[in-house]
Amino acid sequence: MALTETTEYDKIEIVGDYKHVQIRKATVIKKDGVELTRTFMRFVLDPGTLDASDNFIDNPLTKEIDGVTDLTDEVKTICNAVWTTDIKAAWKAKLIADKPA
Amino acid sequence: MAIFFGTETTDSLDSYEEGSWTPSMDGLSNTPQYYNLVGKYTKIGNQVKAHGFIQINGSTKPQFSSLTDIFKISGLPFTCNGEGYFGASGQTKWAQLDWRGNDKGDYGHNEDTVLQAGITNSTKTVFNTCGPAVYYCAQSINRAFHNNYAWWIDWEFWYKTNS
Repeated sequence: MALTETTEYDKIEIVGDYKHVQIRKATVIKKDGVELTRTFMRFVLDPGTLDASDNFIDNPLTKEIDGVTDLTDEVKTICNAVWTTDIKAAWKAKLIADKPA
Repeated sequence: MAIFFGTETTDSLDSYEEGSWTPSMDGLSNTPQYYNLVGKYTKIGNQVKAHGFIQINGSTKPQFSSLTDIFKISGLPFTCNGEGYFGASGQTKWAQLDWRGNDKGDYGHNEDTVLQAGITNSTKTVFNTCGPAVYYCAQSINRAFHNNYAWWIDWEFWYKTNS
């Protein structure tokens, strides 16, 4: 009997006007190659943030939300494809509009 | 599996999912230690119920680069597409946050402060404050959470998502 545990991004979605990249990470446990369980952890990537002077800072696309795990090249490629200059400009405008008065 | 209401397929709930997420405080200048750092979610259709729980270990308390920035927590499992200013509704419990003292009390808050969790910037959890002697609500800022006590905050809310 062999038990194995693997993780995979089993769902990567692009959602909303600002092309958030919504990621589902699955932990899969198999017994002799047959899947026993699949549990999910999720996080969302956005195009970037504002600094104190409202300058736009691109998402560095280095780590998952845990701050430890490296993002995969697949995720980086998708983010860079959908986060166009226009999307970043629109997202920056929303971030500024959302700031408290 | 889809759950149907009535006879139309457009009435189906074809999406149910449970899982975890990682609450992550924005703007930290150190790496705090936690007794508890928990995020769970259940998604039914386009409705998400998210639960978050952060409890600080007193040995390394969170410190922030800016004490006046809005206190925000990243990591929600799905984007928010809700109505209103903060797109979510639910409840929050807390202990050991520091509202007191001349440098803490601009809004007149104290230990009976009510916090209400909401969402801004599509994926950031924020906490609106309201309390006695306060005539308006405002988003809580980092200084209530900065380098003080082994605080905890526990919240859950429902929100509508894009997917």
